[in-house]
Amino acid sequence: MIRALAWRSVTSRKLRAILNGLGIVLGVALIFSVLSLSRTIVTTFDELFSSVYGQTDLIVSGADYAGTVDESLLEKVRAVDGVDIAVPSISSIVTLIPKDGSKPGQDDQINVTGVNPGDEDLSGSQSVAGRGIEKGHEIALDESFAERKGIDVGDAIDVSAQTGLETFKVVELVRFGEGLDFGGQGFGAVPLDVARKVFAQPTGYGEIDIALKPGANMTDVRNELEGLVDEGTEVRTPSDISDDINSQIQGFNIILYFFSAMSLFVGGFLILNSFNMTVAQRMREIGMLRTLGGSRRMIARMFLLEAVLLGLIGSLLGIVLGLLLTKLMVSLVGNVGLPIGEVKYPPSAFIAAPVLGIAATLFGALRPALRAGRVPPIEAVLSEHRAKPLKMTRRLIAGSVLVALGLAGVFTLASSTEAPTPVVMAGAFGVIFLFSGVIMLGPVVVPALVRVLSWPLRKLTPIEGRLAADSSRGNPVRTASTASGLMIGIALVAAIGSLGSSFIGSVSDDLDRELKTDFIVQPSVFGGGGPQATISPDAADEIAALPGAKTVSGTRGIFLSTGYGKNYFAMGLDPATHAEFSSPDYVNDGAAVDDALATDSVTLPEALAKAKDTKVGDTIELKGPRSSKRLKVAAIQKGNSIEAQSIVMSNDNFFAIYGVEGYSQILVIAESEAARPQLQKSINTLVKREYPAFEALSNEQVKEQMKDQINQVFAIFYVIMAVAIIVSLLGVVNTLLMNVLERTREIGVLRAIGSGRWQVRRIIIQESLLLTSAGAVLGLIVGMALGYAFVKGIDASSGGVGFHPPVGVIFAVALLAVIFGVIAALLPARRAAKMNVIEAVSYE
Amino acid sequence: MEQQVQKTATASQPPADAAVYVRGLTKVYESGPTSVEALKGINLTIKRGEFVAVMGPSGSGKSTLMHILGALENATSGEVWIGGQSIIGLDDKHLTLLRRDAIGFIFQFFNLLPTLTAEENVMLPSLIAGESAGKLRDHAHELLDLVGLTERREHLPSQLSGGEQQRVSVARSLMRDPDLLLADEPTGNLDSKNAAAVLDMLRDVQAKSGHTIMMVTHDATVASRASRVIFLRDGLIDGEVPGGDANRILEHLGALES
Ligand SMILES: Nc1ncnc2c1ncn2[C@@H]1O[C@H](COP(=O)(O)OP(=O)(O)OP(=O)(O)O)[C@@H](O)[C@H]1O
Ligand SMILES: [Mg+2]
Repeated sequence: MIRALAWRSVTSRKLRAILNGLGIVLGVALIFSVLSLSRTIVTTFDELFSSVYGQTDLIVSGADYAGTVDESLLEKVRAVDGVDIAVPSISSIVTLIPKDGSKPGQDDQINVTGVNPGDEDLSGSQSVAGRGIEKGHEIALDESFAERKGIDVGDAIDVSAQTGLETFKVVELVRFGEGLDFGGQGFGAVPLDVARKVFAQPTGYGEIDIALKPGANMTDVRNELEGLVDEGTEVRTPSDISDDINSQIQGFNIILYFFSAMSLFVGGFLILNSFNMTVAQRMREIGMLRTLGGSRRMIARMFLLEAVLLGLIGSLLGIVLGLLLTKLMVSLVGNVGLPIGEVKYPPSAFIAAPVLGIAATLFGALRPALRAGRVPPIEAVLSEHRAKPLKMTRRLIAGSVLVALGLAGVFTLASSTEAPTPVVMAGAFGVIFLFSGVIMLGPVVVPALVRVLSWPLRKLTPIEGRLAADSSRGNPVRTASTASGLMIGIALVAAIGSLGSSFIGSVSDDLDRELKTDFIVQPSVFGGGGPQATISPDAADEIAALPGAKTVSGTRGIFLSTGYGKNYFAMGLDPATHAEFSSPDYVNDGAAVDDALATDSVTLPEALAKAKDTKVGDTIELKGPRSSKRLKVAAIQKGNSIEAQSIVMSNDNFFAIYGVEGYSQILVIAESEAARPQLQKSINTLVKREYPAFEALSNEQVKEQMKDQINQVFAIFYVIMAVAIIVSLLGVVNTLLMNVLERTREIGVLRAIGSGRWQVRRIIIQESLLLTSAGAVLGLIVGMALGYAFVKGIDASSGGVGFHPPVGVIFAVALLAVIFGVIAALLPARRAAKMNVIEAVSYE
Repeated sequence: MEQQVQKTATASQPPADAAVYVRGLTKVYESGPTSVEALKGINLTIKRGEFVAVMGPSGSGKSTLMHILGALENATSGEVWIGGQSIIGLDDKHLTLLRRDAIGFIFQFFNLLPTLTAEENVMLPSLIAGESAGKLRDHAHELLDLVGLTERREHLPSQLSGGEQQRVSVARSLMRDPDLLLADEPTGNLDSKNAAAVLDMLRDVQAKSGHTIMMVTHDATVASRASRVIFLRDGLIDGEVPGGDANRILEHLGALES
């Protein structure tokens, strides 16, 4: 009996059920695809490691791959008891030059290893065509990359390496694991002596891969090896490396989970509002059931059953949509440059997504269902249901407290350099508190906001604007919760936007202030993790010889994964020209810094110095794979430029410690303003001819590129939030439909006394605009407050970031609020316009 | 309005002094397999300035007739002229304009907009027409004076009694000075005292400004205030009596129902 009633309730309020269902479908699809995405990323790395290190037991390597291991180490390693095979190699990224002359992209990068042709192959690859590399410019390529690029055994390929353009003959195709695709990146192997030349790595090894004798004790061998190497060199197992990477991925995943949880929350909120409306609408019916002897529990059960029904159907469809959405997300992640393989759908997602979906539905329906149970039988006879008056003061106080707590929590997260669990929780709860606070304040704030926002409408179309505003303000709780749903999605978009614009803004401010270069030559694509492409120092000399070039200087860079300055960049530069290129913002007197850098000194980023409690004049020890050096701290630097965030030393010291010879950037100053355009042209021609993987950019272009990169990284979050916003728009449609239904009589009267269909439509559209714009304004304010707290927090701990409002996001949201407002109103406005006037006015 | 008239091919032309002229009007409601013939061929002429009451048993087609005359519903066949203009075949836009400018409505359920004040409710038809509130205020005041609610201008409908609300409805229906005023059981929801007040007022208005009024009622006393009472039965006009004598009206009703 209850089941029949619940079913009938779903089918009779079809449209609302469809809207609710859609909300669940979207929420479940999102959760499903985020789970699948993170599984896909993890599996990709796992497979990547197991194929690359197929039979490798231990790896001896320098920090961050780019560093080198001393060559003399090889014999010592081989002599260790239990070591069966030890294979040395060096590696780097080169870029395939497309045959059609187009600009190389992310998927043209090849991760190339230089190996001795005679050495054992410890990777998990197997040869599928051709023969192994022997000597000269020969290359073995992974099959899937070759296939995608239309390359076959016997072909000659052009690649841009550190020393410029090189041509290799493809002699072999190898297959790593089953159907593994490294997110577009190719893998290749060339003879070690050739690699030394083209990678500009004359000495040292990138890593030594070790296979143990059968029965050898891994721990013993490892301990012995660790005794052999100094601190800049590491001994790791393949799974150590993949664990490292997995823990980095984990951070990314947590953010993904948080954002999709917010979307699901919006979904639950949609259900809550919607069921509240259903209960309000069915007051009389419920009262009747109670008069006929229906118990409270029976009524509540009826609503919960309806929710379960909706949740089930919505979840099933959600999985179907989720399968598609995953593909989109995976491609977005691929765009950022993360290797990503074939899409994996974890079995757990098929269970977790619908369970969470149904849970959110039940969470949303619970309160309304209990409320329905409490409807007194008298409601059956009362014609008008009166809503309880709101406790405004209590709301104001509780809401404000929550908002304050929320912002404090977010600040706590942002201002700590490390992120232990309690701090992360403080941040997550901060966001949730902030939203809950604003939702509480909603019924107080939103009607006032609607009044202000309706002003232009009332000016433009007095009576329509007036009636639209009256309708929105007539039911403050419903209007506020609808706008609040929208607020959450928009606030998160605005918060991300604020972070992005603040970083971009602060960095370009610093660029303008500190960087005095005219052009920067740098790789046109950045590899995601692993070794970065570098350019030969020869390129700097060639550019310096071009007419119009005044000063040319190269910088070296490496990301430190161990030792002092872990997780910071080390940067090498030329102290002689340093002053011409930048005017660093030192906290101390910087007069003699460049002279000091030229001998035995470094400058430190402010945040690192603070964290390590290092002062100017202290000595720090930097350990690299090539050597360790004790250097003096000559200055401490503020700001956001790469330089200000790096441990800066001379190029000579950099090479001595880290063994990297290639430049990551070449900085160029023109003789004069007038010489600039011609110089850029000749640099471009030179770079394009000899180092096609690089490009020369003006400062403006650098800023543009940085914006693009940040936006690409944020794209995935924008997609997740777009889903949340669509879900909340369903709420807008729901509310409008309910308002139209409740105002049947009024709309009928308007039509009877001479309103046209369009006039009625306009009222509903304006009502919708008021809802979406109230949500947008609220969202932008809350989001920017969130972003502000975040930026201030980061500034407090690391310094150098100032809040810059996300102008682009603000305009986009304002525009979208209007577009979404019109779209959300389509159906309700149609309903209102097509209303049967006679029925509307004739009956009570 | 003249340029909007779509002349239908017709033999009969309404007399010059007819506010309402109906010939052979039928209305059939198709609902699934069954169809209901609500009006079966109505012929009716109402002169300008007449106050006509319409009576008849429940289901006889009174409301249907009012709805068609009020341009709220299309006729199935026949001719309908309002103020010298044929309304048959007009599109939705022109019917809307007709409702706005030529017809005033008073409903049984007071049908005021709850968020607008009495004054704003009265001005509503002109506000819809795009006129600015400033210019309308004086006229709205006159009308509220006429219905005796001068003091209640700023009140919301919820702050008015049922009778007062209905008087606001009357003022609203007069706002655009319509050719025809239609009232479907305007006193049906009022007690006899309030009903009498509203009726007195309607009669006053009619006497003073010479509006044409058509009013449906079940109450013989109410009907007796009209200048003419017409009776409907089973979708057809079944006689008429002059107003004034409630007993005669009751007699006719009794005859109808037996
Ligand atoms: N929309 C409709 N669909 C089908 N039948 C209808 C519709 N509207 C009215 N009818 C039928 O037309 C007939 C006339 O109805 P109408 O409402 O005009 O009667 P009435 O004289 O106003 O009655 P009452 O005094 O009860 O108001 C009735 O039989 C009614 O059931
Ligand atoms: Mg009727």
